Amino acid sequence: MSGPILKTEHLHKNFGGVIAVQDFSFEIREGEILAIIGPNGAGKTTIFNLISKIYQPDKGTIEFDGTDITGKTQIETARMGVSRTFQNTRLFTGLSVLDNVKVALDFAGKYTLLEAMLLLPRRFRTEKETTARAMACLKLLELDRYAEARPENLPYGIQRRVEIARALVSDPKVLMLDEPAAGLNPEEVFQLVDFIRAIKTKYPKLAILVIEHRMDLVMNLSDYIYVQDFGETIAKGKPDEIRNNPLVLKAYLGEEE
Amino acid sequence: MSNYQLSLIMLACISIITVCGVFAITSLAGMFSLGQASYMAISAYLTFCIARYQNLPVWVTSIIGLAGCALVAFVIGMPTLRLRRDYLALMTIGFGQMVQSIIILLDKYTNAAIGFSKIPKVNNLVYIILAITVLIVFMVRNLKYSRFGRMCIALKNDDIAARSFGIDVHGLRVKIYVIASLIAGVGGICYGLRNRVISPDAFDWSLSAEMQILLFFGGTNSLTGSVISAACLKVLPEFLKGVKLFGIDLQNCKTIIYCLLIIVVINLRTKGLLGERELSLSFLRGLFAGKPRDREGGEST
Repeated sequence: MSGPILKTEHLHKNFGGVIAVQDFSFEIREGEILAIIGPNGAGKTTIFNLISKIYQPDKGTIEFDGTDITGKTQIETARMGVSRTFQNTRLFTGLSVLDNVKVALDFAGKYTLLEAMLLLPRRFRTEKETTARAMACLKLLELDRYAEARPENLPYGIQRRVEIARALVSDPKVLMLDEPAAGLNPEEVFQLVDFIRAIKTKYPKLAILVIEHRMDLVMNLSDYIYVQDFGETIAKGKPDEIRNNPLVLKAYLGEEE
Repeated sequence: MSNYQLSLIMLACISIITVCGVFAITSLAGMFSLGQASYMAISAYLTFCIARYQNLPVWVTSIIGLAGCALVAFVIGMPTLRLRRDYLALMTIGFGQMVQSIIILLDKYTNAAIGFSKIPKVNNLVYIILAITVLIVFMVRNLKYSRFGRMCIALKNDDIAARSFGIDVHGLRVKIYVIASLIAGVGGICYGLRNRVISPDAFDWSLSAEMQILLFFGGTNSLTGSVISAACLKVLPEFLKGVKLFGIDLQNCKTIIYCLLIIVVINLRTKGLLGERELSLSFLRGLFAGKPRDREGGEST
């Protein structure tokens, strides 16, 4: 098996006096689903923001596909193939679902501003390709019937899936899902689990990194779990090992009376 | 057509051109600029002064004028477009004042506040301006429905999310700012050709503010709405000439009528007359067939 697709070593981030992430090391391979769990304020989202370069780490390195990306900007990291969703869906209002997915391909569009304004042939060709690719992705994820809808008018569960589709359309190597189940009702959570499983079969090489604090979802889904508490990794292992880990139970459920 | 009517058409066209520029910058890229009139001034003064002192034809110097305009926009835009929306608005007001002062300082060439009036006469100007207007509206429309338009709407919505899809937010802002300033520059040259005189106070910040008002009146995200409101509102005061209501000459209270109209529309339809919708043939058909059109996105937020 090849080396890890994404790897961090001794990642560290402070906000003023607050230690958000302390000495976080992990690695994920192609085709793996890895979960980072922990109570609120455990620094999970900060880890995502460090990997996607919304924040720069104070210490530590991030390696993607064998190259060091610690010093890269958010835009460069995204273009290399590290894709993510956000805790509160950040779909672009004012664009249809299809356009929301297309916009994820647009940075690499093959026509210039002038060609766009004068409606030259390359614009039509590229637009056709982009639309086809976005529609193919929506079809694959069974979202194509919402293509023309405005995302703000869709149920929250669908919005989540559209957001995941938007993150997937550019064929990233790593997909990071930031609390995909937040704000969903139990039924929608079930659908989401199926949805993520479906993604795994349809994109077999994709590495998926999930942040979640709902144990049930994580246990069903992931191959490997990291447990964070107050910025530190308190446990890591396969779902079964985590389930019975006393430290995890303590952090998660509080002291047993 | 009489000269008066022709001049009204040109007035409406110039208004449309300048509002198209503001549409690109405010509606698409979400940047609030109050300095677009100064780009009109820069290109107009460059064009006509060089034409006069170097004895070159206007079409040659207008290229120089527009190039200068783009250069200034690039230099100003590079550092300032990182600013937050409200700071950017302040900065652009300051920039406008600066341009006016420079024009007055260079009174040896520009004739300062008296105005520069040695502008050559162009035949069939109305057709040229009409053609330019159509071209500009066409280009801005295409911009809206291109990948750049989509990326602009994305970055206006949420620039962190936009960056996470590889969109070069700053670079795109600079591009759009330069394009918008070029369009303003075209408007400035047309203005000069129509009026045959340009003076610094014709391009002060109230003109920039007026462009913004016209844009918001027509619909914050609607190009057709902005074009219609740019043309109609600009010409409206002229139609009030000689109209009397209860013995009062409406021409005298045109400012009041103008402002009332704007207050009513902005209050009743916070996103402008057309909001986010575009006036298209299918939209009109739906309107007249009495079909309840889906109002998705229209009145949300």
